[in-house]
Parts: sequence; C-alpha cells; structure tokens
Amino acid sequence: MASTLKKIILKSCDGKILEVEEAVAVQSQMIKNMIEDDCANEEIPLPDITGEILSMIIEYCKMHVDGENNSNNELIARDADFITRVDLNTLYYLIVAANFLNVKSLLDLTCQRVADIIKGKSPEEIRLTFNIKNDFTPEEEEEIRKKNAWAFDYKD
Amino acid sequence: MALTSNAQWPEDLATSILLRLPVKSIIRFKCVSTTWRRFFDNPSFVSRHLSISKKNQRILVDYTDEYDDKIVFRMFHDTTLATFDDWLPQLLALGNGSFCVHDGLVCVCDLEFRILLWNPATREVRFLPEYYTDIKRRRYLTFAGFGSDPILNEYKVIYFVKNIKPYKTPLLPSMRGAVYKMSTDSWRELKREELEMLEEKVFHDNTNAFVNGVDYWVVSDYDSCKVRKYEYNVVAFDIRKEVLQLIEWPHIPHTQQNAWGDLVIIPDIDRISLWISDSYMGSHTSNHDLWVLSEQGQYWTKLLTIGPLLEVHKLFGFWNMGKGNVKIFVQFTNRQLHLYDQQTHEFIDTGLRHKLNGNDFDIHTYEESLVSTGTHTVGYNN
Repeated sequence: MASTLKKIILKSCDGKILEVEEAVAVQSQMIKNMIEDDCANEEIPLPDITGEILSMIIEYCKMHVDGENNSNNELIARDADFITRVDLNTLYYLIVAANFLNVKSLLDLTCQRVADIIKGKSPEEIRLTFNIKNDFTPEEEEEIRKKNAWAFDYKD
Repeated sequence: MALTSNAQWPEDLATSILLRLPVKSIIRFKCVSTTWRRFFDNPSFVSRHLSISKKNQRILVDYTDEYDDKIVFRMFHDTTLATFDDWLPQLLALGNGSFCVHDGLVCVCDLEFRILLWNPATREVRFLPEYYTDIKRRRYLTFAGFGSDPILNEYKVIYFVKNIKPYKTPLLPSMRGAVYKMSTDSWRELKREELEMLEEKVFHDNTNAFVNGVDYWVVSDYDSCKVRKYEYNVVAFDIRKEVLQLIEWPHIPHTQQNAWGDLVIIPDIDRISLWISDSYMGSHTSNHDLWVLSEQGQYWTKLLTIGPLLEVHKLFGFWNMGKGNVKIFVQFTNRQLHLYDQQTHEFIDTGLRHKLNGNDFDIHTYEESLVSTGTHTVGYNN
C-alpha cells in the first residue's frame, strides 16, 4: 500500500511548503489530474494561494477524507463548523482558491456561505460589499421597491 | 457584463454565489443596479437557479385540518420538521383542494372552473384564459395536471372535465380535455379519439404526479349510477407529444386485489411508482410494496417491501435529503402524519392530523423558483 502513503508537496505564494497525503491532495481535481499525468513528483507551486488559505483547504480536505465513513448529518455538521469560523474577506480567498484547485464540494460550501451572509442585506449594503454603483434613477428604484414591497421586509 | 466593479469578484464566482440566494433576496437585489436586474431576469439565470434550488427540496402538505375544518397548506423546510410556513388561505379558498406543483409553480383549479398558476416565492398569480365556459358546472368534475416539456422547456397545463350526468347530453362525449401552452397562451381541445380510452373512466382527486415530462393520474371505471367497480388504471400524458396512455395496474397477489395505490416519484432515479398496501379496515399491521413502472410504461416491477408496520394506514412520497438519506411520509390509522426513517425505523410526528371525511393528506415536493407564471402576470402584496 505504498501509494496511499505517497506525499504531495505544495508550495504557497508566500513560500510555505506543505506536505500532504495523496488521498487528501486528490480531493483537488486539479492535483488529481496532475498526478494522473505524472506531473506531481516535484513540489507544486500555487502562485495565487497564501499559506494560510492553503492550510485551511487542506484541513477541509483532510476532514472529508477522515470522515468518509461518517453519516451525512455528521459531515454537514462538520462543514458548518468549519465554514462559520470564516469571515467574508477570507471566504473570498477561499472561493478563488477552491475554484483554482477545483475542490467542488468546498466551492459549493463557500459560495453557499456567502449567499447566506448576504441574503438578509439591504440593496445599499450589497452595493457597499461588492463595490457597485447604483445606476438607477431615484424614480426607477422607487418603482421597483414599490412593486415588490414585501421583499423589502426582511426580518428573515 | 461585470456584476461587480474593480474585478474583485471574478464573474463566474459571483454568479455561483448569486445562484444560491433565496428568491426573496434576489427580488430585493434587483434594485442594486440595472446590470443586476438584467442578470436576474435572464432566462438562463432562472433555470440555473432552479436546478440548484431542486437540491434543497421542501415538502408541501395539504389536507383538511382536524380541529378548524379548513384546508391547510403547510410547507416544511427540512426533515427536522422544526420550521414551516402556512400558505395564503385566500388563494387556497379558490381551489377545490387539488394542486399540481412543478418547478416552484403551483397550478390550482378553482371552484369556478378557472385555472390559476401561482408562484408562491415571487408572489405572482395568473389566471389562464378561461376555456370550458359553455358547460353546466353542476354536472361536471374537473381534473388538472401541470408539467413541462423537458426538451423545449415549455410549460403546459392539461385540463379534463367529466360529465357525471351523461344521460342528459347523450350526444356529447362524457370526458373532454384540453391542453394549455404557456408560450402561446392558448388552449388546444383534445379530439374525441384522443380521449376515447377515458370515456368510461374517472380521475381520482389528488393523484397527480409529474416526472420526466409525463403527467400521471390514477383512474377507475365509472358509470353514471355512481357504482364504482374499483378497477384501477394509471393514465399517463406525455407533455411534449401530447399523447395519452392507459397503463394497467400491477399484477398484484390475490390478497391485495382491488387494493388502492398511491402514485409517488422515486428520488434519484426519477421514476413513477405505486405504493400498494395490504392494510384493510381493522388490521393492526400492514406491509407496503413499492411497484416501479418500466421506462416505456409497459410493466411494473416490485422494488421493495416495507413492513410489517404497526397501525400504519398508508405510505406517501419520499423526502430526499441527498446522499441516500431518504425518509417516507406515512399516515397512521388514527389519521396522523409521520415521517419514517427506513434505516433507523424511527417515526417523527408532523403534528398534523386530517379530519375524518375531509381532504386526505396530499404531499408534494417543492423548490423555490423564479419561474414566471407567464405574461400578463399580476403580483400581490401580503
């Protein structure tokens, strides 16, 4: 069973080197493809991912490999525990990295988390969060608000 | 089209996030900017939002409540049953208690023979153009079905009217039917020969199920003296081809002969099937067989048996929580509705009990969507 113990070496953009078990590393479809193409024998440089973000992604992947035999509910609870510790700014870097490394379940989890954070916000807060210019005339905006007044009652 | 400025959020990632928002937030965020409004109104966004929403299915239960004698329409958010909403009574008052639910749209046939489409998430309601305006209402029963053509993504309603006093108009067919197409906002009357197989049949209320482009109902033989012979069939209507098919009941053992079956959709494999039980009045234990229909609709295969269960009257649809985690709704002989976990054999009480001789439980899966009820839509504030 030598292959299961094989380590993959990842290098973050700030020079941090991380040794990862192959079973954990292949949670990333990108790394899996590299291993299959025999391009993962030396360290893999990840130019846009910091050591801090990379550690978080490896923690997530490890959690999923270790929890393979756990029930669905346990995994959901662990995912929730992992993701609620992350703030919006870090989430952004996690999403970009999960997308680059192609870790599908983490990408789903992080995008859903951002959606959950912003779903109760006002349009003004959304413009601020995403740096968007309001290009409606006041009359146009008023019309949309009036037409859908119930959607602006956001206690939930 | 940039969703956010200074390219901080790459386009595809911003899209992935916005696709996961609830409908109410999306409607509110339409006034963020003109770009966001156009983006949310785009049909491709609507259909991608729907396919993600389908992974988060909710359950709708309608029934006549034991205590206040009203039809209740309750939506449960997840299998803990802890969170739920009760839906608008003023709209339900219009209906005859028979609803079809598909892609976040609810099709209701009202007591005035009109049909309305309702999107509870966007609060759009629309009455379809009236069709059977010429018939004497007291003489007719109505049955509707709703679904979409999976290839052209075209929504259609099928509407049947059954004359229960055919001897008063012997020259007219007792069953008539018409198909409504949302894209053209028009009806097509089904020809007499297309409906011939249904001439001696009557549909059963609350038996409509839609899966993979086909609408299904349970029908039985009917004669005008109201003596039902209790020979059941399943009727299938192919939404794309607009063709009806009469399907024989499964070949069940003699002990279950004449047994009623409830149409359910099996999650993951998306196939239509029937729960047939051996329970009868006064029995304390019962077994329940799940018969699944072959793809061409030619034969039924028994997929599994659940039982013996104590004091269970019948089994309903499944609630799929993903990854093989499936729970089943069951009704006890005391008319209470529970959720049954097949693996742990646990029952969770929904707290619902239907009134004796009132509407039985009718269970639908529902997912929020932005799908429009069509043109000429009116909204409502509540």
